[in-house]
Amino acid sequence: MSPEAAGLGLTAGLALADARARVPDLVCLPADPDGDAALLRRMLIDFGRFTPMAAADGPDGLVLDVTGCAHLFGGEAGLVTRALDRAAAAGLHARAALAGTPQAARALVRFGPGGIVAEGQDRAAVRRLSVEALELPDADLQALRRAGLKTVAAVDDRPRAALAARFGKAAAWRVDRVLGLEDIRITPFRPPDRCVVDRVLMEPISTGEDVLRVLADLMGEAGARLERAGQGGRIFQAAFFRVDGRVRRVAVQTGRATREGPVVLRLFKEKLAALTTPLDAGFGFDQVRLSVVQTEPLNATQIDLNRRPDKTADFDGLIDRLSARLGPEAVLRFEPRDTHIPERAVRLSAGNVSPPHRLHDGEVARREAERRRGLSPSHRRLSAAGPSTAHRSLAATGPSTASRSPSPFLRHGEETAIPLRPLHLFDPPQPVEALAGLPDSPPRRFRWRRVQHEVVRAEGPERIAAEWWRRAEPTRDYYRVEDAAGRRFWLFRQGLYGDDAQPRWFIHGLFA
Amino acid sequence: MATSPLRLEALRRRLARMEGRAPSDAGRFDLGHTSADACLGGLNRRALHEVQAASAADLATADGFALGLAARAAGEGFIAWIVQTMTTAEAGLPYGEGLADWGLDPGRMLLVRTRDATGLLAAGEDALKSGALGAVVMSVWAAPKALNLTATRRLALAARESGTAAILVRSGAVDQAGASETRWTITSAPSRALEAGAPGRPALTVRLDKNRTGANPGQWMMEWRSDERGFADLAAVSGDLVPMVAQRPTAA
Repeated sequence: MSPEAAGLGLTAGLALADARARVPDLVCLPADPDGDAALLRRMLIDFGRFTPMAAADGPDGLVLDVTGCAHLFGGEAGLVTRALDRAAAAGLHARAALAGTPQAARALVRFGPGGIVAEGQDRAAVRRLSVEALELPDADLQALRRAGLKTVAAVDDRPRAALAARFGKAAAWRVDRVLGLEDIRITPFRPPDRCVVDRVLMEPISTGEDVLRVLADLMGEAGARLERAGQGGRIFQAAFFRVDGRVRRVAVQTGRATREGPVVLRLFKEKLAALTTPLDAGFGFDQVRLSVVQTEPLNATQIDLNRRPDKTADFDGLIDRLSARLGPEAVLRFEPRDTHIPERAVRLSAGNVSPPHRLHDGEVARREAERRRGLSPSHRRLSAAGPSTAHRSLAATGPSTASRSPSPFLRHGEETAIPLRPLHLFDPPQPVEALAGLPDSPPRRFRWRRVQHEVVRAEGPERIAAEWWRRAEPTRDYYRVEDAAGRRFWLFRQGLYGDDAQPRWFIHGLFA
Repeated sequence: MATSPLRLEALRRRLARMEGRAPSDAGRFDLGHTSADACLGGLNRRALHEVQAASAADLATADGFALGLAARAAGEGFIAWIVQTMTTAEAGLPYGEGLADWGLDPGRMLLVRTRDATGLLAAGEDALKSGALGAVVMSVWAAPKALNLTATRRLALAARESGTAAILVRSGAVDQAGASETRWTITSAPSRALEAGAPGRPALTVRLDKNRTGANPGQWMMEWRSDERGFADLAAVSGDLVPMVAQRPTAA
């Protein structure tokens, strides 16, 4: 209810006809609850500048927990003034109250004069309000009024036991809370992060250098705080509060925990330069906040002058920088999977999620041990007997590859030192037209990308059956072939001759 | 907390001098191919080397040669392979098991995909400067405008400063000035067949077109031995049948 409207004698909940009768030239607009909610939400996000503990209070209010925040804005009075100024700038008529508990503040702002209540004076301030301030159900309020209890003070003077017996325990609690005798915390809209550093700027900033300078300052502070806690950050988020109330958040991620300012700052620089919608300062940012969203224990390490420098740390740093610039989907590590379907045997995973090379070292040792015990039977046989007999034995035993040891990055052509898997893989495989003898001879010639290739050398088939627990796919027979020019291809025939469906040929990869 | 890596490096070097240890980094790596190595005296690790495919169809082989060089240069170090999205659409995506078969450890490799050549060069330079890698392989598609003399100079400079070998793979032969120390042209070659006509070890014709330091250009037939992580002469392996007319190294 704006003061102008109140001055004309209008009240909330008035029928439209009555309002028109009182003010003939009234401008009417349909109610827009969604728009109001969106506006409130925007204000809530913007009011996050005062405290990380901010929450919506009904459809038309905000409640902020400003414990320990007021001194940043020139004391409680300064904070309330700043908050009201921001609301006024957004075109809102706002009232504010600051009290010891959220309920007391709510009662004071909605049913009383508002303003700042000195510490310990909550009860005295709220006692002056009428019983409506308790916000009990209408029937209970009516009953209280009929009993002659018109103010909160009158209710407060009665014994609580009698109140609870008449109106229920909830009403008694309610009275205590409104009076500030019992305190409950608010549930913030955005839970505060582990480590948050904030900078309120006297003058709004807009240039990239200024933004980075402020971030550098904040990072120095956050780094010192993390160091005291023995923690390092994995995800850092910068929130830029614009003068006009919009908030932009930008986060960077690191592969390993860090608290080094320059490292994180460089990531922010990369990220800000690579944003698809660039950071729009509008009329400037007047507050910047850096929060460490995810932390991990990180102990101080002794620098060893004698040892070679630790390359893995540099390597992780490189991954982080490239991921920040190119996006995590562009910076990839090879991750072995336990399957014999070629396109699934190696997964490309984002480099900065976890440092796999450290996991990998253990895997390598395991693989090494397995190899020494001789656990890769199918290919051992293949190399010992030579390819032609291997072909027969492989075909006879069917999908013998299934029995292959589940080691990461198995080297297929180990004994012969001949690569049995291509350097480049097509996913999905590309169809080719091939001419081959029945039932499972290697192709004699094939046509790929409108070029005819005469096969001069070939090896196969290496039969790889589909995994039965997945969608049924025809068995594949793989052939390593070389054409007359010495180019090497990995072809496969999907399906067998004599099956219902006609087999089809594909090229799956290119050997060097 | 704030320790400059340069200062640390200087201190390490001073300690090494005081203890009478020679700096371990020799600065050169060889191919493992006897006659080529005798001719070249090894390749400079702190430099840019260009590898070009004789035709687009030889790109996979050129990549193989470049990875072979990277494996020789990097030793146990990390290798970054930076590719253009265009290349992967045309020639397929680098395959981990294939890399393992090639004698590399995919767990110590980083694959970076960039949309354009500019991004590739920037990522390559960053990777070189990080000093974390043993070698950086960059595969560019076609002959992009961004890859001019200045760009190759920047790469060469980054390689020299960090001591990381830079290897640039081009999908086709170009005759363009560059700051590379060597330039190689790679053609696929028929391999020595195993029994029953199976394709043997990867064979390639390697032509050295340009060498800034010393040895004359030359041409060799090589094959890659993934177990030894080295190149060997295709013809000079004793006791094996040579299926093709032996091609002797010739001066080009």
